[in-house]
Amino acid sequence: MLSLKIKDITFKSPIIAASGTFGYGDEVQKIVDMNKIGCIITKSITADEREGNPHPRIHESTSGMLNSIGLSNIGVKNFCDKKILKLNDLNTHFIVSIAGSTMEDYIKVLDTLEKSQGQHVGYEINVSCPNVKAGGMEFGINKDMVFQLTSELRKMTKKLLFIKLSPNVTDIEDIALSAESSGADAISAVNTFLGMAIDYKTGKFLLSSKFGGLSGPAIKPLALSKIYKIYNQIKIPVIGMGGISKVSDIVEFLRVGSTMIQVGTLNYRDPSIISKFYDQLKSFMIENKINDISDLIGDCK
Amino acid sequence: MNKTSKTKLQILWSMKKWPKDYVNWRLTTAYPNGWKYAIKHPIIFLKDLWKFLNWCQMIDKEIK
Repeated sequence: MLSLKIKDITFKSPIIAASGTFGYGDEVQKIVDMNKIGCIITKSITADEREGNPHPRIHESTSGMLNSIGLSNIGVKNFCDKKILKLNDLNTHFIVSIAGSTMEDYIKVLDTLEKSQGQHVGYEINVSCPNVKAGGMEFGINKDMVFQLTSELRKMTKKLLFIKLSPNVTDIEDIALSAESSGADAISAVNTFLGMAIDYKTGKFLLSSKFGGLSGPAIKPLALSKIYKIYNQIKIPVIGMGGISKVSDIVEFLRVGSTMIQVGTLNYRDPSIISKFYDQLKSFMIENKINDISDLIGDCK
Repeated sequence: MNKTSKTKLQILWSMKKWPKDYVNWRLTTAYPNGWKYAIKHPIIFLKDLWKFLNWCQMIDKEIK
């Protein structure tokens, strides 16, 4: 009823844990029912270990959360040595999120992971990172850079390749088309929206890096519109995300064209929320006599 | 706050089942040196925790 396939991989549920909100995956296995999670996307992994940005790097805002964590992670070597074998034992699929500052960084991380003993089913490429060699411009805001990056990574792996797009662009559908034509298997949309918070009394910035990514229920209508636009332009699946806080939100994301959906910020409130959503989605389908989850995809009038 | 909303204490209590590894990861997400930063800066940690609990109550209302 809830299972679905992308390429040759069958997922038991369309609900995924979004990158950066579920640890590396192994930390949560004692508190969540892995049978009810379609897939876990790990925290973004970079070529080298990173401490991330100085404190404060999280700001809780109205109906959302601003973060500028700065890709804090243990680096690909430590990930392969200390984490990946534990993830092989999870009772669900996992996908590794990859980030980098240069094309070479992405290639190095993917190459190391390809040679590891990990049983990951794919990669999610976080293109919302500044390209050092292009003057700090984000990979994801330029369709040529997305094309080049996706093409290079596609040559290196037969595993699933998801490209996670930034919403902070004028025409997200053009970037999605670029990723599709260069070999992506799916588009993850959308990453966080650029935001800022200041203290009205002192004028002080509330994030050390001034700007951060806004996620949570506040961005849901914005995310829905981006997903709808992408879905109507491309043929590969869209993995929708952006402010999901209720099962009705999941149904909305499916109806605007998502094949699978990712839950992110809500995991900070309750790390077991995805298994609850699984039960609620199943009940919704029974109550509404929907036999197959794919019947909902793109069903909006 | 309506009667069905959890108090800050109830939210804190519900976190007691979180495994050590998960708590450690959450602290690493919030602070550059994870738990070490939290121990060195207890006032900052408590202020952040208070803000987080307020946020949880706001999100609970949103979900309902």
